[in-house]
Amino acid sequence: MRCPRPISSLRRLVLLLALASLSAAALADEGPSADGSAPSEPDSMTPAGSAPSPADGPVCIVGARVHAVVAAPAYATVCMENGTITSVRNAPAPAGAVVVDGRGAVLTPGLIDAQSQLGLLEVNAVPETRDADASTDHEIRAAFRVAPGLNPFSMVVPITRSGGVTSVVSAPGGGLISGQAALWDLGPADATDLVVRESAYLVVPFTGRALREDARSRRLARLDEVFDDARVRAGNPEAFEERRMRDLAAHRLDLIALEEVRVAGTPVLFQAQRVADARALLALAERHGLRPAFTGLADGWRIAPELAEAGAFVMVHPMRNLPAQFDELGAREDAAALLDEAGVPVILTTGTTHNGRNLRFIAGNAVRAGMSAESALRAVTLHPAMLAGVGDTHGAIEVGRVANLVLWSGDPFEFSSRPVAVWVRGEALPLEHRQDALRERHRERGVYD
Amino acid sequence: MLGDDEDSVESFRVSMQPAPVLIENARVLTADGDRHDPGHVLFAEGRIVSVGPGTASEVPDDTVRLDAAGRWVTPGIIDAHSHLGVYATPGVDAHSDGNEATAPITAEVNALHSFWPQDPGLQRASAGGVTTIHVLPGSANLVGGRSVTLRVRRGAMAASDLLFPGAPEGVKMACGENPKRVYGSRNRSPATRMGNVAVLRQALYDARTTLRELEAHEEELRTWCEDGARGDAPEPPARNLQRETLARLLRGELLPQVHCYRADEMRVMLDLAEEFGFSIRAFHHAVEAYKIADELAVREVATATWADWWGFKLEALDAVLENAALLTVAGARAVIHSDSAYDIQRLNQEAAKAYFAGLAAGLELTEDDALRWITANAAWVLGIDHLTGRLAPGLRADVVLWSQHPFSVYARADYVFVDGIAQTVRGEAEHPWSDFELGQWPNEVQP
Repeated sequence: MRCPRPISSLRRLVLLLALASLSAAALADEGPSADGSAPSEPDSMTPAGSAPSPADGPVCIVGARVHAVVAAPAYATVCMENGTITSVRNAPAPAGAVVVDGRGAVLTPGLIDAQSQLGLLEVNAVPETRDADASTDHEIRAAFRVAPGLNPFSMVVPITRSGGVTSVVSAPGGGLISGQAALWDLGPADATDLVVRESAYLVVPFTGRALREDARSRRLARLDEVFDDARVRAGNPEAFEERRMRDLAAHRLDLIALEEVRVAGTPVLFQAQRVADARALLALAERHGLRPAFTGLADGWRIAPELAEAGAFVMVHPMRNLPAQFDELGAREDAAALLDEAGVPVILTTGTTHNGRNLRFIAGNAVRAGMSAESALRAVTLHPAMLAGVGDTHGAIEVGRVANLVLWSGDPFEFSSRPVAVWVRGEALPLEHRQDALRERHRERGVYD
Repeated sequence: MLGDDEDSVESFRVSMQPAPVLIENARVLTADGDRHDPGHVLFAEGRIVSVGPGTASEVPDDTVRLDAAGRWVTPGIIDAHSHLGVYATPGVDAHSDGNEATAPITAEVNALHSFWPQDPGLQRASAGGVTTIHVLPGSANLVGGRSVTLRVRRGAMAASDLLFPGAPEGVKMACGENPKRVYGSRNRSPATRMGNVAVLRQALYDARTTLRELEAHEEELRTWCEDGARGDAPEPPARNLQRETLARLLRGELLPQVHCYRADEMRVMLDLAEEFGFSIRAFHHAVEAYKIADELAVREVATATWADWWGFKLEALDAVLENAALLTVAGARAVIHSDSAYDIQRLNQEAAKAYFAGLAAGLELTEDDALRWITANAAWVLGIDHLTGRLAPGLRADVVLWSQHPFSVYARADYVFVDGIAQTVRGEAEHPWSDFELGQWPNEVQP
């Protein structure tokens, strides 16, 4: 196989940066210019090839336009050490630091795809490679946590990372209650601790397809029953264990998991579309003390103030503008912009597993449809982190946060730009993947005769 | 002439462009090798009159002028692979009209007869700059039926209103996983890839017999005419729509559009085409085409593919972002298609993805190359490259005015002209094209 010769990730970085054509574009230019001083000239650059290993001290990216998400865009030096961001300020890199030249480039937090089946699905039509659906005889699968089934060696991981995505939430599907999604960092495949949150959210499908053979009201009643029963069990676990209790609506582990979700405030992600569904599910969440979130919600823009009031995160795919099903008649491409304007915390997702690398273009399309670039960036970084309960460690560039960072050759949302370096937990990871190897093997074949 | 092909209908609705249009001060990408900046496009009576740098030398008095300062002009986008209308939205069973999955060979059906002109996807495709679509049956069958080339215009009451005048029909064929899965799961042939090929070959041999019968009849008829047409005309053989479609395919009158993913299977299909003496017009999806780019170039078989779809089934595992770019560099004809009611709205973006991926891999491509993937090359696949797909005098006035460079994620189609008539004008309040969407949004103005 004619693969690229392995080179140290740091050396690679310098080479890549030297090659990158750095054009400032929309996102690079946006934001208040008042506090964005000119790029600071680093005192000295580590020449390619002689860079010390990051273990020797901090790595600092200098001269990049930094979109911190929690602060206005500005030029700054960002340093990381031991997997954590250690400083963000407009000052030269400290002596002894490994310096990465970010001049002309844009630095953002690593992107987070909030609803994927990465690591749970290799090839859709090959059942042996699917681990996202706990197809069992019962429909309440609250105890199904996908995390132990995640495969960090999936060929899809490096492809996803090549698009600047450094974390994903891998989610289960199917059933009345699908199970619990996990947030994980796309670090080195052999790392043992990639899962950050085993219980990022609980998935509850409530869309046209799930409802094809089940009336909405009946499904709501079943959800009410099972959440009720979870509390009945929790109120008297001894009686439950000793079979001194009436039959409950779900299996033991699922009832326990549902109570844990309620107590921990784990979000319950409803896959729903219509106004009536959203309202019914908000009421259900209120009755049972759950923290609601939504995905889809074609009609959400009609009740944006109600959603904002409820503080519910809403996952939107900004390209879904067709009346694809009868509960999506309200679909429109500017839904994300309308929700964002109304104060709803919006999350943008790709809705795919294999092309999670396109998350940045999804964000670009949300901007195309009227969302601000800053909001779109937040919708693929901090908001998904907050939903998954890691809003204090992920999704922004700030001292103390995990060093998941992407350095872009220009506007991250544009086709003409690309990631030139990706750090996961402070480690610069290669951007090459299987598709690059295929391309290289076949690009120079002899001419057919 | 497997002549009186009653399946073909010519559109009888003719719309006239009300006045000539001159787009000025534009950055013009012609898909014909040129970039005029600033440049102009003048069109009248449905045809392009003048394209070039500066402004037009002779402009009729009643011309509507569009100042396109800072904006870009391209030919109308052509989608070489669409299921709009045959798998219309909403995607309910009642709209599942794309696969006559009752037998592996259904050459007798025609996508035109499934096409629902009220598909809400048409208006959105237009908003994405699409002016022409090739609508195909699905890939459940080895031969799925005839495919048709349609205009993306408002106001059609029947699919035939949208027929592209002069466009040949295609024949949708498929290899690989889909046919063998569909029929294998019913415990009938084909259940394997070798079954796929065997069933197809048998059908083509049957068609060859039909072709001989038809040609013999044509000969009889000619002789009868030459002899003064005395007495009764010779009796034609009984009609067999399935075999006649394949016979016309063998005679090169219908363009074979072949769904095929893997390089090795494309090679099998190329061998099969050689066995029967016809030329495959294009492989569709063809995620592994880059592996045989040189052969596809030599044989002049086009490839219509996506920018980045992969992994949804095993035969789609080896996709690369640079497929179109590698084909182009090898001298083969590449096309970026949609196969999707969503992606058809952003074929400019799909082309941009593939273009910049190619550049990043160090492949020598021009902006014009990439624009051709969704215009001129797609027109060739449909056999209409002499009618549309480039900005050149005499061609149909299928023109898009973009707010920005069409390869920017932020670009929008401001004006989309089909035969010189504006179908989409961005920002103009309008009712839905589709009756289905009318009145669905009470108390709100639909964008």
